[in-house]
Amino acid sequence: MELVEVRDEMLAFFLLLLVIGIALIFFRAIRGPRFTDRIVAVNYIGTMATVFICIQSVYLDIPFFIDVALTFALLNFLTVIVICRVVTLHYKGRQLNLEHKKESEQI
Amino acid sequence: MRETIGLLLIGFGVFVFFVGILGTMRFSYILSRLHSTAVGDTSGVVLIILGLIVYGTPFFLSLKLLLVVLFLWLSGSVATHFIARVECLTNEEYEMYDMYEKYGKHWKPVEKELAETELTETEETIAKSTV
Repeated sequence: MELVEVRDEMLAFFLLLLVIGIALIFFRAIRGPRFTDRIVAVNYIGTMATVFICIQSVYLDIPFFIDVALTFALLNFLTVIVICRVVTLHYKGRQLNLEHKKESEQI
Repeated sequence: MRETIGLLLIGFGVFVFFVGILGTMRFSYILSRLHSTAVGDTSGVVLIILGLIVYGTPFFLSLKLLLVVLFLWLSGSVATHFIARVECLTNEEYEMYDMYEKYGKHWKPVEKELAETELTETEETIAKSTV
């Protein structure tokens, strides 16, 4: 009888472990030397949050949480792609600016 | 019995996630960190979702969970590739990484070139004779 009770509460234990993991990887997002470290950490936090919501929907027996998890995964992907695109365009624009400055100085 | 197998799968998935976190905390270079997070992005997710399906969800809900896995598999690898490309584009000294690992962070490329081009006398004579 006690074993069954322990088995029913194991999902809550895994939820707790996932929360601890998100708190650990948050340090990398704060401490990362470059911006790519922060993007990696944010991507990983998003994946872990998606899995967290899936486990929670089974644990609390609320079926529509899985839709929330799917939306969360979509938003996570969109965040990473948009940030990478903006950084790439910004970097290329800065390189072009530098080249124009050099050419104008030579003239 | 079925629930126990499901919980074991979920526990193994959480362990894989923690392996990814360990790599993210301990590796010294960004591309290695990216590699270790990709482990959790693919195998950790599929282990946890398979565990949830075995643990006991209705049929259509398990199909939705498989949809989550499919989308995370497609999007996670693409996102990792994008991050690696941005890193290789914007980091100007990422090719020096092997040398930094060997000789320490204060290593400069000029010293290395000089050390390579310094020849002993016999080698110089040999080079002159061949020319």
